[in-house]
Amino acid sequence: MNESISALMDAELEEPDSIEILKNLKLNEELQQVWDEYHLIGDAIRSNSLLTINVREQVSSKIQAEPIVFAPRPWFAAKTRQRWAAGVALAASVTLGITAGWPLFKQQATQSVGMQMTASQPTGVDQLAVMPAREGESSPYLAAHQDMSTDPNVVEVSLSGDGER
Amino acid sequence: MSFSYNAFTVSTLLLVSSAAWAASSDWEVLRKAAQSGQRQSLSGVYLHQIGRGEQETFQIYRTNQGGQILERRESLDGLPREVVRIGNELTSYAPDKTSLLAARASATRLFPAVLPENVNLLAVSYAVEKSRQDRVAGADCHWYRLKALDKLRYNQSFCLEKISNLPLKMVVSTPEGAIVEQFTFTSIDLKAPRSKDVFKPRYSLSYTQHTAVQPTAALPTATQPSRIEVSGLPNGFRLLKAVERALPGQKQPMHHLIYGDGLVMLSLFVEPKNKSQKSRVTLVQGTLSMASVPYGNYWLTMVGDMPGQNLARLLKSTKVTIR
Repeated sequence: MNESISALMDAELEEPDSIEILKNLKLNEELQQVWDEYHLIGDAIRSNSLLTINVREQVSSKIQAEPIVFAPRPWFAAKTRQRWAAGVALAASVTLGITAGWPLFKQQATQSVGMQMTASQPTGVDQLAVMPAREGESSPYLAAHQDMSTDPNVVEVSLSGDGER
Repeated sequence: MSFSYNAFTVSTLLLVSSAAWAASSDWEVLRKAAQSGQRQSLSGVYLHQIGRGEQETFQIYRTNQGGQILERRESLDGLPREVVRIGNELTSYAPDKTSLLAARASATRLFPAVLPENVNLLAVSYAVEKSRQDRVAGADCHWYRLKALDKLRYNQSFCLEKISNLPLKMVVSTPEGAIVEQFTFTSIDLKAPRSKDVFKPRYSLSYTQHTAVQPTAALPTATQPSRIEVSGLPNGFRLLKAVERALPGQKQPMHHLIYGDGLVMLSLFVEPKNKSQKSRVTLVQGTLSMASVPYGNYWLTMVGDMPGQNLARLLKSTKVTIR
């Protein structure tokens, strides 16, 4: 049913199916929550389109509030050694973090659910036009991708190059 | 004749070795840029532009506190949101649920931390080119371009500050040269903020990335894939994580595999086929695309930073075997 709601929001259902889903939605509170959640995800994904283009005033006020003018040379010349020492310490800290964190991540991996598959070639996708995300469209796939791509475990593996193809 | 032949050979060898040294030197600069992008103390404001229309501005503060990175960025326009980094923990803050989801989206693009620490990973997938000098936010910088070798992925250019090598500007463009995303500092100060108050979040709702991800069961780890095999991905993409999870609002668990080449992350979802699903390619936002296709009794969906049609082509050439 949830997949059908998603399909309805993406305008991918035929009219009789749409009417049936809408009837169920009116009666079922749980489905209404799913409907709200999908819309919330869709709104968040498109949040940037809500942003105003005219940001000069806000940027200018923030810039004016900045007390220090950019001057990299005096900073670099005066504190090179201290900065290097801090950098080395931080590098050691990050390395320790990765070393400690990666085995923990690996321990979390358990058994998979077995699935049988009949392999065949996917078809037809290269004939499709690229469509912009539509108003009201939800994408739990995108939310899951964003979750994982900011997961520190994933980022660490990505940065350190421990993964395999 | 022998002399001129030898002279030609020697000069060719000199040219080749000179070019190799220059490339090696450029990768070294990018390595420093990666470190600086992750760790350099700074205060500044940067503009994020998607395509030609959408823009958003962020204030960012960063310092080292006892060897740990402390960083906070806050949106200056649109939905109110903050992203706070303490060491390796990333937490989004916002005043309401919608803004919090937007904050999570913002947490995926953490400029100027845009290069992997191990830039050697990138040499498999990209060629580096040093180009012209420029100025950004009042600072001199040099442009370096990472050009995708397979012409599937986006090209990425960075203007690196001359001394610290901090990325001051980043431009993402299609293989055809169209700009799809830019980050650029409008003001920058390479010093830690004087007050620690700037690192305190102001909003009450929060979401800590790594604790909120609750896979129902993990597949074999990234280093030991056994029950699911994927092939056909371009050079440079490595499996970072594989989990089995149910997406929000769905009961049926599906396989979710994350691949990365150091700059780009791709998600591949494998699930049983559903009647209501249709093949499609969607440009979700900015550089992010999504493509879905049927595959035997299954349904494949790929999400990642790649031009839509290229992502669709990649998905078509991907082969998945589940035992």
